[in-house]
Amino acid sequence: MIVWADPQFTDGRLLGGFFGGFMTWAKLLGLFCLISWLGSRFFNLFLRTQQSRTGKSGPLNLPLIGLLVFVGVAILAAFLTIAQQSTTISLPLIGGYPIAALLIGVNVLLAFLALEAVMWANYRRPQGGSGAQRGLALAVHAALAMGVFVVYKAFDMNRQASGLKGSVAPEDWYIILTDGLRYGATYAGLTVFAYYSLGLFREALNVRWRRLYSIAWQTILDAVRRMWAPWVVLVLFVLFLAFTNWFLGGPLTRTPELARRYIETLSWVSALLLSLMVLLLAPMSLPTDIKTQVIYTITTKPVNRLELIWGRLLGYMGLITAVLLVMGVISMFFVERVVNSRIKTTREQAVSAREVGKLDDARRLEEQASQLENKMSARVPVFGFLGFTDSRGKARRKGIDVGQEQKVRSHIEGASASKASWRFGLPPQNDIRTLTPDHVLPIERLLRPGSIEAVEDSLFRVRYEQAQIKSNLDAPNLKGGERRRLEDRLSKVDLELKRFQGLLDPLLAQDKDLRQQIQALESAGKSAELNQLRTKRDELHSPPIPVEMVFNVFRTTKGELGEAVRASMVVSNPLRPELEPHRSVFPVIEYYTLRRFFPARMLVGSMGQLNIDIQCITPSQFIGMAENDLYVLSNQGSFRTNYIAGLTGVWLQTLVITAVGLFAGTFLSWSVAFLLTLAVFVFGQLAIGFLDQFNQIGVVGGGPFESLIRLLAHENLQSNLANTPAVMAAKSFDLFLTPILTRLIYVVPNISALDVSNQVAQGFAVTYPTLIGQVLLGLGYALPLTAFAYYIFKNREIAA
Amino acid sequence: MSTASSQRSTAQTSRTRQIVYALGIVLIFGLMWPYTEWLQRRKMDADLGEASIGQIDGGSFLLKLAMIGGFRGVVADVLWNDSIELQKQQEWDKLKEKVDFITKLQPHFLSVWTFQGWNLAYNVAVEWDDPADKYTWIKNGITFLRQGVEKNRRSPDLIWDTAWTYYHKIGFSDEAIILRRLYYDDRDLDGQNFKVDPITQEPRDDNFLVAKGWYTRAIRLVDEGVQRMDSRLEGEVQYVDKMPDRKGRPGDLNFRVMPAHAQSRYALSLEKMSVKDLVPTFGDVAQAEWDHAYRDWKEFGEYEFPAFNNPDEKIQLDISSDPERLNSAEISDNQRFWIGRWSDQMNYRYWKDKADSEREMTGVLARQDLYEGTVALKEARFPDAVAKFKEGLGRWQDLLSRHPVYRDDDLNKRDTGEIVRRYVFALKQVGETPGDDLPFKELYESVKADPFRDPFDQLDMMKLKDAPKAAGGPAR
Repeated sequence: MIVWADPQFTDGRLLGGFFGGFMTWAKLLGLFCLISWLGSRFFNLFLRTQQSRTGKSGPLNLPLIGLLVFVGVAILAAFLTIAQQSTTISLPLIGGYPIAALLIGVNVLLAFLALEAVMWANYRRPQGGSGAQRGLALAVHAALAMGVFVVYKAFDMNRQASGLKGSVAPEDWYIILTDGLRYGATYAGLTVFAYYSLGLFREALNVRWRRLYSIAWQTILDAVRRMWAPWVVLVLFVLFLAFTNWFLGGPLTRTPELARRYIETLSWVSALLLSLMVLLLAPMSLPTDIKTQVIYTITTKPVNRLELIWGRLLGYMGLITAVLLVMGVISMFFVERVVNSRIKTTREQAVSAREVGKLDDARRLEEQASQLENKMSARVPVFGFLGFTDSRGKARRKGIDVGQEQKVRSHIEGASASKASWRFGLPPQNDIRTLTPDHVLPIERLLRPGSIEAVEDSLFRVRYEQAQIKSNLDAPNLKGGERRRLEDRLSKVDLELKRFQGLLDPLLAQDKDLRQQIQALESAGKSAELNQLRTKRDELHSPPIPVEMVFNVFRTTKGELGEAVRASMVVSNPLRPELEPHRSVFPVIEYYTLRRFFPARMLVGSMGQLNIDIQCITPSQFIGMAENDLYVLSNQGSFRTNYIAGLTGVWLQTLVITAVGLFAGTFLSWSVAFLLTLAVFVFGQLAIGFLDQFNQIGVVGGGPFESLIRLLAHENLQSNLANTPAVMAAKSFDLFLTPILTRLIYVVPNISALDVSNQVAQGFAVTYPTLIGQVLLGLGYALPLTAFAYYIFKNREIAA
Repeated sequence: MSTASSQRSTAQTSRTRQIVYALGIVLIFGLMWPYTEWLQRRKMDADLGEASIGQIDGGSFLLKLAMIGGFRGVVADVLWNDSIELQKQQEWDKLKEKVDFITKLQPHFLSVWTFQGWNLAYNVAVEWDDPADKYTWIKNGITFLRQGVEKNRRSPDLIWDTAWTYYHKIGFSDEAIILRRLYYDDRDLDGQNFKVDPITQEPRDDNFLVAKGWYTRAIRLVDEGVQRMDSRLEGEVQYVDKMPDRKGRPGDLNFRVMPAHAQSRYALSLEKMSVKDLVPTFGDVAQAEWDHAYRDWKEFGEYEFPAFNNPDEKIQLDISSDPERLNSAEISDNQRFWIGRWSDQMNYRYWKDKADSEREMTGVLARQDLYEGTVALKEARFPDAVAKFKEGLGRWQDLLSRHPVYRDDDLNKRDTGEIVRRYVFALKQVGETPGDDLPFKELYESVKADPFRDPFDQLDMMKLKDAPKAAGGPAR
């Protein structure tokens, strides 16, 4: 109950972590629904109450006065708090509570009582609301009460667990009430959310695809014919492509970074142009139709309001999909042309360097070309769990901090027992992380089917199962049915063992024969036949398994000039200690993706588990790494498919902006709707990091009013301001405003989080789980916005 | 009927108004034309046009246009913050992209070019382990500064910064031997003319020579009387706190001395293995380069700097090497004071005498002998080493007897003492003991316990590969 009540907690154990996200989303939406419900219900109720008394809006607007008083008292309480904190004034406590706290408590209580009185007075009237609305009001109250009850019970249980006897102390009731109301608000929000979701669901059942399609098609025609929007976007995009050198400085970009730069820039430009197009279309759509009264021709037909909203959304997204596909395909071919040309040029330079004996140059150029080729792929990494061993051989969670600003990487010391160990499969002991599929090596993908290693691995799996069954059969008190089942399974397993052995023996015999022939030819020096035989032998085995890693180097001395720091890699199978680990030594090239290989036989009988240990060999130097710096490459897909998948991020970004635009258009004029959508776009795309920082740790230098004073007075962020009345007033306003501003992170959609172009640019595959997560995130923003738009539009009077 | 006619009348009035407005707009645009022409002429006269400051960049123009109104400053601020964060995260390539964007928005803000050029060449380069990657980033920093020069052609500051980075970062790094080799091997295929001397317009295979060209370009710009903040319009403005150019002010000794330093450093580097696996050069070539160095020092010494406390009195540092003239009546006490002070500050007498002694053939031959002796020592050919050291030190002794200033300098004493230490080591290997006739015996005592290694000589710093005897090959 507490997990559901507290917005800060969530439960990520179910559905691979997706449920946790859903829980947070539901709670946040619930709170928005509650605020919207309260706002819409009581504002209207107050107005109606006032008018019903006097027959018209009276000389005294009581609701407005009440609101002003409420806000005024809140600001006064904030002022008193600031004044007391700055020791400018000293106020006595009343009943053990500060005056400011009492003021706020009384203020809230009076407001609550006033709202209750008006609400129930209205519900007693015949036209005061439907049965469902009365029921909802009752349910909200019940939810509030439940919140208090849950906190009380939790408090009581804690007291009993601590051995305290007697009833709850009076001062504890303050905490119970405040926390209880907070939890109750979440429950109430979920109640309102459920109510509106049900209403939306019923409405959605009435939606007809034909009407949706008609409205969508009309929207597209409108955008194309009247505003030529897609043509303008495409022309601008092509112009940008024609003059990329003005912005991207082509020949001066480092070769390994060329792909990343072009892909990220072109994705960003596509997103920007499409977002601008949608910014101009979506917010103006409904307000323009309302103003020109075109809306009446639609609302008078049997079209429900949800179809109006979703139809427009579908229309815009259809247009965006078409334009995005065109832009995506053009930019994909453009990137391929530029990058392949650079790879070709670099390889040619490497060849000519080698011809004139400049071997270091040739090696470097080939390495750069390989790095660039790596980025033009879709790699699927499998990450492990990272642990460290210090120079005394003791296990640690982190390595040595060498004082760098970025704390992501920690370091291991050279020429010592210090090492970094990646464990694939199971998390380390005492680790709170649970087993996730990502950390188990996909043996079926890494070992070639039908190869010696694959068959050996199958044999091992069957032997493990056989041993397990035999162990289970030896268990005491085994029931007869279970025993029979196990014996049946054992006999099947025995057959499988024979089958796999039957597959393996000829392969091994063939391998042995080829090995002997190769040895004979090697001594005879017949290289042509030798290569043929080697190829034949390789076909019997799985290819070596690639491991990629990116490390940084920290030197305490210059060492030998020009000599790289060297590292060793030891790969071992934790389930087969008898298997000799694979060792290799290599130079570490900082910031380059290093690729090493280990033989496929290390995976035989591993059940997807593996240990990879990295040590620094060069004395007095350090190598730095983070958990995701080393991974086993399980697959390498097509760049083109990955690029198109990466466009999903752009599509989702424009989906959210379209939804915001449509939502704003339901209750604002076109200019204000445009500005609101633009603000959401700017904040969501560019300033989300700032909002997050504001939420998490606050901002140094105070809130907006205090910052204004600092700007005008040329004060820096750290200095203490003198406690003048102006400063205290500013801090009071900030005390009031800052909690609202810090919650903006929950209101403004995180549009930049939907972008996956960075993954594509780095040459990593956009996998299905990633895509599903991004789509759910995008829909998590867009659907509620369309739902809000529907309810606002439904309650709005449009027809004359 | 009356409703229809009133509607027609309203429509007509509206149409009339639209036509009047349209004509008004056309008229205003028409009037703007001659005004624009006049403004353009005024800009050219006052030297304020974008083209007169430097090269126009299409991308910069479009970006500034996109940042309509006051957004340019805000966007530049955001980009600066982002670039600082990227540097902390060690995202070097993204840092460079951000910096490129900043310069497109603010191409005439010199601090951006100076700071970021230095940042790329020094701070970012040092974060990379492989010397080839360090070189790439140093080159990025220098190229960045050169782009700044192109966009701000009247700024001697950026030209000087470019020269300094060529000179100092490539020539004086811990990995200078390797960086200078990478520079030497750089085929300049990206069309940036990275190795082209800005004065002679010829490619140079040594960074010190290119640096000298850039230093000279900065000095010539100042000597032409060009100052960045000195347009006709700005000359009429009274600044509260005018920011002068950093470099090239009257009395800026460090500004004017650098061509001589660059030339001296080049000549010095010729005679040692200062480029990885590249043999030194002696003979006529080395002699000629030291002669250039001497003339450069003379030119610097003969330049008339205004005295700090009395700009009307001119100070020539070269007089400090002529005691007779220095103490004569034609030199005032004030002049004598500044000549002494500044020549000590710049160590002028040492450098001039050093160039003068090294340009003698005796000096060149001595250097060659000492190099060959060191090579023989490293290759354990001790009898050859002894012979070469003996001959070389003899020549060196003869040379220094004619150049007391150079002889008595502490740096030279240390270098010479080191050679003597190697000579003594070689003697011991062949079973001889140093006698009383050991040249520079007094220097040997002071360096006996000091195993000095020359960081700019591959013989000392790195594994010695095949090192054939130098034969006075062509200049690099």
